[in-house]
Amino acid sequence: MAKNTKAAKTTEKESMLFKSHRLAFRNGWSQVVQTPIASFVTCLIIAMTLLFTTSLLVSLKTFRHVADSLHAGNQVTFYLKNDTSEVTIRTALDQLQHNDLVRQATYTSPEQALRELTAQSEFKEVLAEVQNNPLPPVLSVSFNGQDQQQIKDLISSISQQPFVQAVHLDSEWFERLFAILQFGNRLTYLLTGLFLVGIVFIISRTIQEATSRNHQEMVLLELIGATTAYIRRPFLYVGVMLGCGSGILASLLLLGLFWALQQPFNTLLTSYSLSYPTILQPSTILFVLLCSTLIGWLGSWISFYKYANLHHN
Amino acid sequence: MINFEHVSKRFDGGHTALSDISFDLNKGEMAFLTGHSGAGKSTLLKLIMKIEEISSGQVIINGKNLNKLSKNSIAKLRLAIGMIFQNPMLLPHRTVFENVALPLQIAGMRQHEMASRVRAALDKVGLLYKEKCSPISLSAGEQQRVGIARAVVNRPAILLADEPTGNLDPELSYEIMRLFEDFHRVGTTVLIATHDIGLIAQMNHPILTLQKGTLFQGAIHG
Repeated sequence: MAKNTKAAKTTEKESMLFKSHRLAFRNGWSQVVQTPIASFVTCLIIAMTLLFTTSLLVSLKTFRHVADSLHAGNQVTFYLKNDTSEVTIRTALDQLQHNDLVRQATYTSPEQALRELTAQSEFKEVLAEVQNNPLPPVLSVSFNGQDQQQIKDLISSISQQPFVQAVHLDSEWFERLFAILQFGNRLTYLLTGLFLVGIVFIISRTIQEATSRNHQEMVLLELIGATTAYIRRPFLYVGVMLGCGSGILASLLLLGLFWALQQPFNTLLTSYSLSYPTILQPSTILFVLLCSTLIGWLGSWISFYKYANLHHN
Repeated sequence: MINFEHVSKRFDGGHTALSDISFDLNKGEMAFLTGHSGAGKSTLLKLIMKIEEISSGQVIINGKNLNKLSKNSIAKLRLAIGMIFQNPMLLPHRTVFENVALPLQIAGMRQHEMASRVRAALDKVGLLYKEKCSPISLSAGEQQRVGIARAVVNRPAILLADEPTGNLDPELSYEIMRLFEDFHRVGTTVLIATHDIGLIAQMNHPILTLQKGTLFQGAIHG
C-alpha cells in the first residue's frame, strides 16, 4: 500500500515536471517569436561566428590530412654496410615492419638493386663493365605522419645502428610545413576558444534583455510560489533554441560553403596524385549542433544567474 | 494558523520597522491590520510571505517555523498563501484567464481541472465573462478582482491582502471586502492590511493596529 502511494507520488511528480517543461518550452518559444528579427539577427551573428571557427578547424584538419598523405609518400632510405649479414637485415626489417610508426618497410638487396638498375637501358653498358656489385643493401622506410618527434627519434635510432652506412632523407620542408600547421592549429584553437566565449556573451546578453523585458512577470511568479528553477526554465529554453537555431543555420552555411569548395579542392589534390577526403563529415555537423546548443544553454544559465544575484542581493 | 512571537524587523540602515510583535490568528479567522503609512503593515505581511527576513523572534505559519524553511519550502509556503497586492500585478500580455491560472500552472495542475478552477474563481469575483480579455482593458476595480481570483484560485488556507482597496472608490471597496468575508466564511484565514478605518468599522472583525512598528491595540490572542 505504502509502496503504491510512493509510486503514485513519483509518477505525479514526474508528470508535474514534464508539464512544467512543456510550459517552459512554450513560454521560451513565444519569447523567441515575440522578437523575430532580433532572434534571427542573434542566430545569424552566432552562426557566422560558428561558420568561421568551424571552417578554420575543418580546413586545418584537411590540410593536415593532405600533409600526412604527402609525408607518408616520403621515404627514408637507409644504406647499409656491404658486409651486413642477411640475418641482421631481416631482423631489423622485421622490427621495423612491426613498429606502429612505420607505414611500410622494404628491403632491397644489392643483387635486386643491380637487376633493377640493369633493367634500365641507359645503365646497361656501364654496368656490364663493372666487375663487383658496388650497390649497398638498402632499407626503404615510410612513416605514419602522426608524431614527427617520434619519427625523428626512430630515424635517429636506426641511423645509429652499426650496420647503417648512410641515411638519405629529404624531410626538411615537411618539418617546416608541420611546424606551420602546428602553429595554425594552436592559433585556430585559441581563436575558437575566444569566439566561443564571445558566443556565450552574445546569448547571455540576449537572455539579459529577455529577463529585463519579463522582470515584472518573474517578480510576480516568485511572489506566488514559483521556484527559481521554474522561473529559470523558459530562459534556458530560449538559450537552447537560439543556440540550436544558430547551429542549424551554421551547418547549412557550412554545407553550402564546402559543397562549393569540394570540386576545386579535389582537382588540386588530383594534380598531386593524392586521394581526396570528404572535407565536411556528418560528425562535424553534429558537433556544431551540439556545441551551439550547449553554448546557448550555458549563456542563458550565466545570464539568469547574474539576474538572480542582482535581484536577490 | 498565523503566529507571531516577539518578532522584530530591522533593516540594514538601522531602521526598525517592527518591534516585538506577538499575536495569534487562528484557522478560519479574519482580521484587519491597520495603521498609518510606514507603520509596518506591508513589512508584517512580507514576513509572513518570507519576502523579508525576520531579525528576531519567530513566525509560525500553519505549524511551520519560517526561520527553518529551505528555499524550496519558501516557494511551497507562498503557493499555499493567497496574496493580494495594492497593485494587482497582472501580466498585460496574458489574458485574464491566463493571469488567474498562474498559481495552478506553477502547481502543475491538469489542464481541464485548471480551467474549471479558474472559471470558478472568476465566477466568484463576477468576471467570468471577461476571461478572454486583456487586463489592460479592465477598470481598476475589475483588475483588483482578477488579482483576488488569482489569489484564491489555488484554494489557499491563508489569504493576505495589502491595501486591496487603496485605489478604489468606497462602493467598490466595500464590495471587495464582502468578497473577503465570503472566503472567510468558507474557512479561509484572512488578514487584510488597510488604513481605511471607515471601511473596517463597518465590519465586525478583530483589528490589529500598528503604530511605528509596535502593535498598539486590539491584539487578537497575543
